[in-house]
Amino acid sequence: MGEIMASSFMRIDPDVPDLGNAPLPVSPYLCQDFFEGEREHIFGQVWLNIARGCEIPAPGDFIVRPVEIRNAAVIIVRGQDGVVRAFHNVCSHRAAKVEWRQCGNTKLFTCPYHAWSYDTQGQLRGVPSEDNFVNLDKHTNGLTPIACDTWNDLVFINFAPQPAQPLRQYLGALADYGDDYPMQDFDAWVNVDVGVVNCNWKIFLDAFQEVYHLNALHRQTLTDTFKWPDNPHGEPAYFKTFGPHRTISLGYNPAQRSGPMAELAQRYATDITSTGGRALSDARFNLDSHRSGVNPGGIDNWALDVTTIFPNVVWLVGADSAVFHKIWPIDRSHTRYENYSFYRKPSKASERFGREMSFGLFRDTIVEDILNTEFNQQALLSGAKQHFHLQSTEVSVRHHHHHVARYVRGAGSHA
Amino acid sequence: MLDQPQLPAAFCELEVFAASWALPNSDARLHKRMTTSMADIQAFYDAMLPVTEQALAHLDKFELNALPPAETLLFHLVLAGAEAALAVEVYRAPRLPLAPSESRFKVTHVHMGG
Repeated sequence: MGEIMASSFMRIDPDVPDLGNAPLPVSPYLCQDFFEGEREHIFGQVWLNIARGCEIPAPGDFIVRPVEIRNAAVIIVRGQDGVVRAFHNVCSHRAAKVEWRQCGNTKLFTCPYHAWSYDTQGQLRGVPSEDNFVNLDKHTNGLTPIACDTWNDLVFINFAPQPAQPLRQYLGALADYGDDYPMQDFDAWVNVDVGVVNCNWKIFLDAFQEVYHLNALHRQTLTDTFKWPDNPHGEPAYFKTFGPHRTISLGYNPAQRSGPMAELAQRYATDITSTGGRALSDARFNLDSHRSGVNPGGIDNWALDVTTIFPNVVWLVGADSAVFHKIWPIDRSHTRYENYSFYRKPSKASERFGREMSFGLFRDTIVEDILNTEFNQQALLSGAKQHFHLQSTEVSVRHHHHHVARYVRGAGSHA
Repeated sequence: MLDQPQLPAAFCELEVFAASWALPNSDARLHKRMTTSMADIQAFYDAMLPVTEQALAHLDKFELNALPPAETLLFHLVLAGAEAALAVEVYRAPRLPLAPSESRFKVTHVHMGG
């Protein structure tokens, strides 16, 4: 274990490998060849979380999502048989864009160009003037499938024609960690669509994987939230890895002071900084009753786990919410960011009010990162610095770069 | 004006804030907060704080997804109160110094009620 791994508060799981303590080179943020390696060996090979099953609950429900780094638009659809599948949104006739809506419910996807139509299992069903085609085999000209599988209501796709590993194997110990997490309870959501951010995707991901910056960049939004007398710098409490995936656990400040409206809001709905009350104890009990593997360090004042599903999703694992940062590379210096916060469906106006206040603070916190990441990218482009210096609690950033580099070298799936 | 929904009678003293603050979605409420002076946010907050608990008790008597027009208006006003409270209790300013323009993101609620 390298010297830099020493930390005044954070505990590190004994199974975490030695990641060294050298400064990180900046070339992976800037180099086109490296980005091409990420395109081929990461985003072309691994399982990518693209949706929740609860977004398409009924047969025929579909969503269309872009994956820019693969130049793809993906139809994710629940078939009439209830199975979720993924297809390229490309017509078999002359490769036109089939479905132009972003979501909906349908029995058939009909291409607007010449009205070829496909059922929800991707089979080619309708070809106008079919007799005018010679030797057209409708059975082999359905929508092009993309490998698709679901774990705990998270829908994953894989662009490899033959994925190297099944989803369960790719998730590995992360699946054991989250198997019993009650994801299905959280089936209402708030989406923050930020769109394009002008930075490399790893700049943006780095910002959501370490808490060192909370005391500075987020000093007005998260003041005193994750620090307490034994942990005066607000360090993470525990770090654990699962192959290329990882989690850092944060504790809350039991003595945090809130204003009167915030205290009222916390009576009706918990958030990740809630320190008590009936709603929170119910949520904690629910989590414990599922014997979930979250909070692997057994932190008494546990607030949440910041869990990265390699390569591009950060899941904020809470007792009463499941939040996902989704960070999609576009090119080496542009990224698309979207956030989904999943909750129980509020049953009363008071519960929605509680959510409104805690979500508003969360929203204002996550968008504080936008300008900083863009300025970070501009500063990197100057060429003034060739290395990053990481402190012990930024080990999550180091772990990510370690695995990105392994995949880019082509050694990724042999963990 | 007669066609405009009014607040439930017990909350009529908030009527003066309804036209400007009782906005139907969170993006509009955020925009209102970010473009309002701290003095005006404080005045709205000061009016809402003492009655919010009572307003929520009233609203909780109704089905969240079937609020009558007067209650819908009150609901939007209470949600705007949460937005104003962020400025008053947490940020001490209408907008954070590092915040990007609110035109850079869009917030959508699904199955969240109201």
